[in-house]
Amino acid sequence: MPEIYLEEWPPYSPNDLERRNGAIEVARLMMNAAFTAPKAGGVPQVEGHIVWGQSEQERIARKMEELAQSRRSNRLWWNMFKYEAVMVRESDAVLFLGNYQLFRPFETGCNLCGGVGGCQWFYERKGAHFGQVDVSEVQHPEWLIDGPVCGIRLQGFGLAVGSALEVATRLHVDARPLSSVGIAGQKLGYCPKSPMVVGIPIAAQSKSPYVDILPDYHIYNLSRYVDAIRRQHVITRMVHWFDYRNWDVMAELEQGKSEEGEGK
Amino acid sequence: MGIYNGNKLAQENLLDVARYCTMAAVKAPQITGKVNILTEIITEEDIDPLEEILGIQAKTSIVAEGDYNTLKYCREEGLRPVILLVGASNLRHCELEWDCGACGFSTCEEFNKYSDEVKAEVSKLRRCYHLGPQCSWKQLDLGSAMCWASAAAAEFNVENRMIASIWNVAKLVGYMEQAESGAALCLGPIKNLIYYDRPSLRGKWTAQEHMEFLFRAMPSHFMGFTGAKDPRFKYGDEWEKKPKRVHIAPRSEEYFAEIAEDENKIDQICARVKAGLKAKREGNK
Repeated sequence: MPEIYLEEWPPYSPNDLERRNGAIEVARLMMNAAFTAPKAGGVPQVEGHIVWGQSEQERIARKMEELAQSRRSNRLWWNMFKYEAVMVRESDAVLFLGNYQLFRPFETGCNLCGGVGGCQWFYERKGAHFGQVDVSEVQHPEWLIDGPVCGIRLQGFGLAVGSALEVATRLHVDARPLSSVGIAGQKLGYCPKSPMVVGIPIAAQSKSPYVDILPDYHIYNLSRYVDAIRRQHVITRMVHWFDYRNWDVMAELEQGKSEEGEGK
Repeated sequence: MGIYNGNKLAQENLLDVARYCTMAAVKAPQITGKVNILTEIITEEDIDPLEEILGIQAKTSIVAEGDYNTLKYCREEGLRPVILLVGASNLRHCELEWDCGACGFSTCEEFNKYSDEVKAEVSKLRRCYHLGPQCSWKQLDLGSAMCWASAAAAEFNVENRMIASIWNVAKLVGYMEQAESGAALCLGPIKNLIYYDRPSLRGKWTAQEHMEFLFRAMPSHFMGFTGAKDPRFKYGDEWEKKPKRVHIAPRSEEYFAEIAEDENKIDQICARVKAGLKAKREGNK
């Protein structure tokens, strides 16, 4: 029988890739939970994408860093996107969840979207005729999300996200729902039918990548530290030469010790 | 050693499960980290006014009819559920400054301005189950909290379902005063599929009534060829020989008069329950 060796270091090594497979399986099960989550009227509304791999995760992280610049003046926004880009890089996989019914109201006139005016408030703002929204028509291309969206569907979306997270918890996989990841994922074309997407990076590692975050985390994180160590290590070698074939400098230490012993 | 009736004991423990569900709702991961989750638990006879209002609404709502009959069945069996209300209070103001547009406004500031402007109008609505407008990301977080409460109940193998109509009537009569949106999570009774296959609804309608419901719910499924302008309707086996045609008709004035009368009855129940709740809350202080 073949044996499977799992260890999380070094990243993307065969043993680490084997370990990641467990998290990817959990992502599939989280998707099941999102599909079966309670929802208003039981109406199908959820779609998902599971994304993993170094280049794929890097692409998402870079999109997040690009989006961070769109609100440069909002320091918390900028931090969120920059820090969470690191989390995406450190994750085993990313699960994207979208709700493709957000532009199709539940039509109970609940007033969640506009406070007053029932579903008409929504339809008027979507330029609808006969209660039909042209979902292919982007009204505010400059906005991150082309709102408004139906409030009842949003709560259903929350139920799907919550259900997926609950499965991750039960299966001992760290997961965190992030708007930054979702917005970046939507811009990259994940969950293509949905106007709003939530990104859930997941990880089955010794240390959760999503909590205990340092200030300026985009600078002070493990990947940067490893990079710094590699750099320093090379520089140290380059400036402290040693002719190891003709000079056993450490032997001098041993000799020093033995001379000390003789003196006692 | 005592001997216990297991079913009775389990029924009595529903309140404990509601406690755990509350913990789960508050513990649910949030995207915003800003949503203030609120809960209230309704038990025993305090559920009855909710059933009473649903009974009135049942005349015009198939949803209310189903939930009314289910609560009635549970009461008559001596197995009322425990109702956990899960809501949130700070949804109408957005301090995130994400300016994402999901709410329909280009900035959070514009959203907040509109939200403040419309508050007076919202407060005058006669029936208000959810107070909008709301920040989209916060609504999503509230949904997750509801889900975690429900999942906690499932972990205990407790029959449960989130029911919008019960939230609506609970909100009407004065529960969850501070909450701007939410849902009612019915926990128990100790029976199977109470809120799904609904044994309580067995024999409540005839085959003909069932078909008439389908006609209304999915009219296009029963429509004949539209070439004759008013298409024929497949109301029964004789639909072709003795045709009936689709025609849009307004509701009668009597229908609306009856609804207005029912709304007055609901107002009276709300006033009665609100007075009782106020006294209870003052007693709790």
